[in-house]
Amino acid sequence: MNNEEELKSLFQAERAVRPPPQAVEHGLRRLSLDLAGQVAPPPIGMGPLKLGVSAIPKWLASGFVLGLLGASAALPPFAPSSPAGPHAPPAQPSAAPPAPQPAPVSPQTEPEVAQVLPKRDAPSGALPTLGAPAASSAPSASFDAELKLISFAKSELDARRPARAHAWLSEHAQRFPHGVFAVEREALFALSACQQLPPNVALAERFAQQHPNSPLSARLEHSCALNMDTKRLNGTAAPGERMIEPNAGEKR
Amino acid sequence: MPVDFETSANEWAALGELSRVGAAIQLTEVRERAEALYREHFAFVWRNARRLGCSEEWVDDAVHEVFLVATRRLAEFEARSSARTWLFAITFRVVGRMRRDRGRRTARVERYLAEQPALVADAARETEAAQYLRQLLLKLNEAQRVVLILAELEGFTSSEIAHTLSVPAGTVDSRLRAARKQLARVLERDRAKHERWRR
Repeated sequence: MNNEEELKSLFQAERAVRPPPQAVEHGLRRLSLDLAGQVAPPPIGMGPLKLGVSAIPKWLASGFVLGLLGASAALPPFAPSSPAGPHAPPAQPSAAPPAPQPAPVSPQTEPEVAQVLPKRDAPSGALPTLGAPAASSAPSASFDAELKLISFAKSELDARRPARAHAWLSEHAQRFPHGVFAVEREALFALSACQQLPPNVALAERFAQQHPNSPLSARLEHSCALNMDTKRLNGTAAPGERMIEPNAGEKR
Repeated sequence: MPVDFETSANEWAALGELSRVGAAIQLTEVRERAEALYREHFAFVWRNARRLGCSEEWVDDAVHEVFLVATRRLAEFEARSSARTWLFAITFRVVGRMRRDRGRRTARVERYLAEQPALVADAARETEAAQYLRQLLLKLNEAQRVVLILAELEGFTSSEIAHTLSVPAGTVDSRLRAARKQLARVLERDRAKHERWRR
C-alpha cells in the first residue's frame, strides 16, 4: 500500500468515527443548565442595569440614584425663598390620585426581584403593582427590587411622566417604607411634584428643610428653583406664590 | 391639562406585560435554536475538536464551550456563512485557547503521545486508524491541519475554506498540497520505524 492509498484509508477511517450515542443528550442537558443561568430574560427595562445590580455596593447604587436626580435637574443658582415655611404640609400631585399610605411592610416580606413586574390585570386606575409579595429573607433581593422601583420612577421622570413616576414611588413607599432608598424616594416625589401640572414645589421645600445637608436637597432645590426663578423673571408671580409656569420645570 | 393617570397606569401595565412576554418568547426562541443547532451539529463539532487536538478527556468540555459561545452569539449569526463554517471557526478558537490554557505537564504528555510511532497493527481496524490519523494531524502546522481537516475530512470546497479562514482560495490549495506532502513524509518515516521495530 503506497502513501496515497494509506492516507485515503486513514481519512476514511476518521470520517467514519461517530460520537457516543448518549453524548448528545448528555451535552444538551449540560448546555441547558448553563443557559438557564446565563440567558435569563432581563426584567422590564432593566437589562443593562441588572448586570451590575448584584455587583455594585449600596453606596455606589445610592450615588447612582443621586446622579440620576442631578442629571434631570437644570442647575441655576439656588434661590431659597419659601413662604410655605418648613412645616408646610406635603402637596400631592394634583392630577394623580392620592399616594397610598405606606403600609407597614417588614423587610422580611419584601418581594423577590423577579416579581417587579406590572400586572396586566390590575384594577383600572390602580397603581402599577409588583405582584404578590413573596417571603424572602435575601437582603440583596429587596435591595434589587428597591433599586428597580426607584429607577423606574426616575425613568418616568426623565420622560416627563410625573404621574407614572408617582405611581412607582408610591409602590416603593408601600413596600419599602423604611428602605435604603427612602430618602431618594422622597426626593423623587418632590421632583415629580415639580413636574406636575400645575407644578408644586412644596414637597421640595419640605425635603430641603428635613435634609438640609443632603446633596439631594441642593440638587432638588436647584431644579425647582429654576421654576420659581423663571416665574419671577416672567413677572407673573405674586409675592409668596409658589405656582410656576407649567412648562418651565421641564427644562433641563 | 391634567394627566390622565388611569390611562397612563393601564398603558404602563400593558407595556410591561408585553415586555415580559417578549422576553419570554425571545428566551424560548434562543433555547429552541440552540437545541436545534446542538442536535444538528454536535457530531461535527465533536469530531473536529478531536482533530484539532482535543484528547478524550477534555473533548466534552471543548464541545460544551463551543456551543455556549455559539448560543451567546446566535443573534450575531446572520447565516451569511453556513452554520458549519461558523461553528468550525468557533471550535478552532475554543480548542486553541483550551490547549494553551492546559498546563505544561499536560502539553508534554500530549506531545510525547503525538510523537510516538503509532502501533497500527492492522489498518483495517477503524478506531486505531482514526487515532493514528489524528496523531498525524498534530504533526502538521496549524494552517495545514485546518485546511486538511476541512477539505479531506469534511468535504468543504476551496472557496468555502477560503471564506472560513479569510484567505485566498489559492492559499488554501497550496496549504492543502503542502499538508498532503507532509503527511506522506510522516507516513513514510513511521513506516520505516515500524519496519525496524518488527525486525
